[in-house]
Amino acid sequence: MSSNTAKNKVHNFKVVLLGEGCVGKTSVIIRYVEERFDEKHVSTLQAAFKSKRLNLNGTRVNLSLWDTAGQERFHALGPIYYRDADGAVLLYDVTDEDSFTRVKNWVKELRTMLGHDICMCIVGNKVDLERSRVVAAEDAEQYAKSVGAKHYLTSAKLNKGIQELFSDLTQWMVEKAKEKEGVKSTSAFSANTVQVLESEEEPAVGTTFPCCG
Amino acid sequence: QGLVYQHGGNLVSGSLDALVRHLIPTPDYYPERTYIFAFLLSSRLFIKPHILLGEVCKMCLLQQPERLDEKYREKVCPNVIRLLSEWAELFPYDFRDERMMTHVQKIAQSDCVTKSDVRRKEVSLVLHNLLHKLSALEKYEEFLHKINTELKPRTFDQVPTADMTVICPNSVNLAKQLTRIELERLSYIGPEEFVQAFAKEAPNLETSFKDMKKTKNLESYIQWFNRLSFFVATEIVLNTKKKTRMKMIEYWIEVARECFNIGNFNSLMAIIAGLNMSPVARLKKTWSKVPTSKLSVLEQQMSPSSNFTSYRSTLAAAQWRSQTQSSNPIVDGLGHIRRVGPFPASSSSSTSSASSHSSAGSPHVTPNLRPDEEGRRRIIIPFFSLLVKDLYFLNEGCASRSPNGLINFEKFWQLAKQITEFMTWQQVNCPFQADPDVLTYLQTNPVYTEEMLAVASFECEPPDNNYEKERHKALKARYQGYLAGKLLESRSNGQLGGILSSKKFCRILCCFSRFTRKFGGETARVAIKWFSWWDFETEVENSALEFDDAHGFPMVKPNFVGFCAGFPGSQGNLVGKLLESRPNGSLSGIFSAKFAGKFCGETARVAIKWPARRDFELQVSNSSLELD
Repeated sequence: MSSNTAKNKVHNFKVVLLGEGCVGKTSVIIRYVEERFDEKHVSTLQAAFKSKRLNLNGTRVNLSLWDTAGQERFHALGPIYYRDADGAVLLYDVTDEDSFTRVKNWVKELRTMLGHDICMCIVGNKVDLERSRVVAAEDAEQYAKSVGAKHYLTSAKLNKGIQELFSDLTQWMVEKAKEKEGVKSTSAFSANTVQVLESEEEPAVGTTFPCCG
Repeated sequence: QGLVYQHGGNLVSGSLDALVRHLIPTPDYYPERTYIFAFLLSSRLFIKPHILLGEVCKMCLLQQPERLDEKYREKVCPNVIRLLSEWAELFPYDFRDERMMTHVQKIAQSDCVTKSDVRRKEVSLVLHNLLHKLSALEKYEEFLHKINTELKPRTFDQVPTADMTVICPNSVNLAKQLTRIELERLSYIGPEEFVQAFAKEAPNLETSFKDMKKTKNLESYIQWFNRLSFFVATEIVLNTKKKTRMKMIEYWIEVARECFNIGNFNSLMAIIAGLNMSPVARLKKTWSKVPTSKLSVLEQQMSPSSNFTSYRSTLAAAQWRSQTQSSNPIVDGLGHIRRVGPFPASSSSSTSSASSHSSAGSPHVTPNLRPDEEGRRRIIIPFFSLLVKDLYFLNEGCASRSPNGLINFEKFWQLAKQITEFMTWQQVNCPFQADPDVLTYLQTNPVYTEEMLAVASFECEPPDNNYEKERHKALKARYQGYLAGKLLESRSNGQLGGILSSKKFCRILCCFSRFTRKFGGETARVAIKWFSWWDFETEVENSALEFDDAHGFPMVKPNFVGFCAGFPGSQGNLVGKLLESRPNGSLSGIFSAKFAGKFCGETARVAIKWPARRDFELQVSNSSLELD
């Protein structure tokens, strides 16, 4: 490993996966983390939390992937999940026009709330179902360009395009983080590591309210 | 015979046939209750409940030439009744199905039941309890139906007469009332509804769920969560004054904190979500004056980071509290598959001390807990969305069948375990007194839709970046006509004066300055009541309208003259209705017709849709009106 200190620092990125139900968010994430469950491995509580450590040309990256699967009907929860995200993977199903419209709405919301700090990837999943495709690749590509996002096509079923998607996104986030660091070179890259803060605040839960028992 | 066990003796997989056989009692075999629950819960993914019950009947009670002689049936009968009783207790909603009831009747009318007084009584007790549960469900559904049909999205003209802080000034009480609602709605969710919810998303599953699904309690509960978030946001953006907005935000933070203390994590999260919805979160000037340290503590508690790790440990602590508070442990027939997790000592003590505070509003704090205190310490209302997500993941992440075709029962043990835990939370009785006014307001007061929240939010604080500006523009185009119409309709004196020319009125009525610009867009609809034509025309001429040049003007001339001539009194009203009904919304042929006469009278109302403002004015000035 390189002895360069800048390279030794671990970048922590939060990536949120958004999209309608049935677009395959969970399949994509499971594919990417390459953790196939089988009957011997019944996972419980931490199942929904996926993270992945990467080494990108010597830069160490820790990706926290936030899946929102099963949450689609809880309409108000979006902001809770995308808050402080560095990257967003907005999934649609290439055979479902509505799911693409939903992605457009997410783009609007994310841009309004998070500005240009967030790296957005618009991803058309299920390209294995080419025949019933209704969202044209060119349209999606063009749309992505117009909103400053990148467009990918994937198939979780065939494991196509998923590694590429996440490594491009990671690369992008690293560049963005470096840009930011360059701007304010004095600030440590700590926006994503809040452990210190958390442990300071935690006791406050108990002490905010005087105990009368 | 078709079942696979682990070293410890745990059933891990099996063929469907073998699993069904494992459920069916014999004179000297009765399945374990944990198995009954787990299998009945998940078997519906493979076999419909009524077919399964049919199997039970067939194997135990029907006359068959072979071994099923009368003696055998006589001996197995008590076990069948017991199974039926447990089934009805655990999954009462399964019996909403006529096909299920047919089998139940078969059992009730079988010789071995009718011949014995004891068994007859047993069966009728089962039926009695079942009826009780199903009629409670029906009542609840009627209640939901009633509030849902009465519930319409809030419109802009609805002048808020009161807000939450007026109806329930005490945040502790509000948290209690929210807890009442949560516990009530939670209590009706059947364990099978979780499993059925997965199945809906996978259309190629082996059984059809449309056929099976008899209840919507899970969906209703999700709806309630959404409603509460939107409700909080609406209550905030309805305040056009910054100061009252701030107060409202502070109030809801207090309520959220009380919810946390009670263990009502679902309302807590809905409130946090409401405060984080973009129409509220974007109000920077408002937030800058709100002390947010309490909120940050709560948000950290409920933060999704590391898959809600802080919340999960708080929940574990609350669970510990719930289990240890009572001298009578919670009745739990499934005790031994219930998970008792390890609890970090510090976190449990902080939660329980926090909780003891808020209930100590009474002057005398006795060391012994009052009964209601005991009750409230039992309360755990989980953040439901996460529960659903965990179950969803369990379902998605594990295959239901292994490659060799056997059913993966380990998965179903897990599902059963998690849902059992949830069921103990469901069974808590609410210790808090109902406050009917507050409950009604919370459940029925209209809330804004997402778009309307955004419109109202921009009225509170104008857009401050390009995205917001664009959004605002688009929203205005969509809603202006609609808004203006609603505003006009709502005016008690029906006068047009002061509306087109003044911005004041719309401000008061909730927030639409500059609404007079263009009423373009397909939704444009203006309802106008007026006393005299004069005012109307003068006002239109005086108003500074911006015109939309882009649209042509479809010429349609319906024959109104004849139609309206015969209705002097209610003419205006009719014309209004007619206009409303015209698909192209064009004004043409209406103002120029001589019917116009006078639309005096209190009922006069004209609703106008039009594609372009210019046309409207042109038509008004071209028209040869008879004036009163």
